[in-house]
Amino acid sequence: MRARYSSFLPLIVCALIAGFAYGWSYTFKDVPPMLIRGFQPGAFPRLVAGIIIALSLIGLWQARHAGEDRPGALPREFHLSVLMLGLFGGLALIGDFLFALMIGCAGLAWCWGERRPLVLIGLGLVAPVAVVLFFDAAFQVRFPRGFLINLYYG
Amino acid sequence: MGDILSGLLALGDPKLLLLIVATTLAGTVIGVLPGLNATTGAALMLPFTLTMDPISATVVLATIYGSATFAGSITAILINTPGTSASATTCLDGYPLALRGEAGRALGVATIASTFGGLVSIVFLFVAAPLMARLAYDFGPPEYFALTLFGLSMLATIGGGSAVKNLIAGAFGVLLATIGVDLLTGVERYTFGTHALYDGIGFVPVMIGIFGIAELLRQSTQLGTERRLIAMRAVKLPSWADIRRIRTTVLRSTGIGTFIGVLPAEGATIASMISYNEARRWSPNRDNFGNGEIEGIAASEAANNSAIGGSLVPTLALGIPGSPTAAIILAGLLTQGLQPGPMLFAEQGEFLGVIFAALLVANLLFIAVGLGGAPIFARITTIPVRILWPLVFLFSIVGAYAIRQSQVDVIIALAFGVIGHLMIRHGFSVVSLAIGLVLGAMVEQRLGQSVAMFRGEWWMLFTRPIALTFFALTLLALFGAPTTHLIRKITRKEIAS
Repeated sequence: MRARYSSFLPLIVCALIAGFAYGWSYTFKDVPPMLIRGFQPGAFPRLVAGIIIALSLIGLWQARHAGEDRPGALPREFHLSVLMLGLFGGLALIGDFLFALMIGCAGLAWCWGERRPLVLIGLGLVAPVAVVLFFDAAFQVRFPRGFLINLYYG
Repeated sequence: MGDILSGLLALGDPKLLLLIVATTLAGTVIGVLPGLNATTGAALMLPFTLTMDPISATVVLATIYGSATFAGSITAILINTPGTSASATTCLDGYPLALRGEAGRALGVATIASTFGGLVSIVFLFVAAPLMARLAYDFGPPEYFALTLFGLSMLATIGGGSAVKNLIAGAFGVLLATIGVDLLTGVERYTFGTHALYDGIGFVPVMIGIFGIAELLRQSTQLGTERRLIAMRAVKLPSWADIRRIRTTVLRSTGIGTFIGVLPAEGATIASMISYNEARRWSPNRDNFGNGEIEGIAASEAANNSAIGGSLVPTLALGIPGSPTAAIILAGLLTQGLQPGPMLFAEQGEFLGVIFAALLVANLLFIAVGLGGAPIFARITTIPVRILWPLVFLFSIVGAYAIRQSQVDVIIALAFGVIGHLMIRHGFSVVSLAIGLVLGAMVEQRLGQSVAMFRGEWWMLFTRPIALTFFALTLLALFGAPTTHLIRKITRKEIAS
């Protein structure tokens, strides 16, 4: 039954997301008939969400005979990497973008088993600073202000 | 012809020529690095191209596509790890040949077959794309809608996974394309009051997420994999005897590859697999396939490179991507404000001439890279993944941010990285999601225009012959294989009873 569950779950999740999208589309404003170019703004998303729900049901019907296709357990490094991506996202939003890049880069290397200090410094300090400076100088990309970026922008 | 000549003349610009050389080398590096392929490479390069003019941007993406696909063979032969999935079949004979001390011969055959396949498909692109675009002059919104629908239906056959899951992924891509303000009515859809979503979800962060970040997460699950680089003195040009042996295979595989490339959504991987199987079926040396048969290498490499030119035909002529990487090139063209189709050929003849000429030059460069640089490029594979992938992460994130200078795009890239990984893990195709996203807006717009054209009488769509043909092809793509399967099952049951 566990194997079946693993086959059904992704399709059920798809159907639920599509169901939510279908329901939410009724909150879109309708435009007066004279402004309609083809159909109301909610009609097409409803059509697509309906197709996803129908396909998910077909998938569930097909999966009733499915054998065991439970994916193997994920290693520790994977979970640490996802955590590191989350940490990066949080730091980038509430802290400093450059600092988040430094932590993200060096943190990923650390999570994947890199322990040499010089390599970690290269990945966590030199590479992010070089890339940020390169994008700023070559492509005129302005990075969001933060305690480290402010040192550069002044 | 004049456009091609002016395109070749434009290559006299040293900056553009340098860009092609640099991109060929960059694409080769991307192609030899396991985990990075032409699609990921193009997705990672997309942010950089947005700072360029449309010609340079398209040249960069097309060259990356060609060179990364070609370079996948180097690692396939030397370390039994295909740099790109399109080179998976090259491993089957390339690595056994390398183990016998003939790595140089295997790489020589791969280089010649790749270059030949690539050049022929570009000539085909020269001829077929304008012709196809001319046909598209007769297309109105209903025909374009039917064609785009056909392109989406082909998602069912992507990869070896479940057709239903592939279609669900494609439909989610289309649904994602509806996020933002509806351009026709100005009504907000799925923005949840977030200003950052008013313009919709950008192609670039999603592509970076599902191809770059998702691959990073996949790599984190394979950290223990060891790679052994085979020692090699020099790459050898194939002997006349070798050329005589592979010539029919190369010609056949080039034809197959170009044809498969033209089909919407199919790409180099499927082309190389079909060509390999056909080569084995027709070869007098079929028993040697899998044990170091040079025909196997030639079939795989000629097909995967010829699929490139083929896949760009519907991409440029009709705006329907012929492969996953072509979908990214299409996204690049759309982001640059260019609309592929007949008008592109009519108004931007020189632009297309430059792309054709650049691809020709890039293919000729493969000979130099393949024959001279393979041993050097193969060493790149020894860079530890724990150094390489944090750097890929860095470029992915900064690239996702740089497009609109929005932190929301960074979060979108991260979120789609995790979503992409979960999709791959549960058998959903991320390529389908990407193609659905690129084509989603077109489908809605063309359906809307068609319905408006017929004053709400949508069934009139089925009264147009060209549209009807594409609807029939769509039904065939969706139900052809299951119906045949069902008929066979019933017939077998009847025979058994």
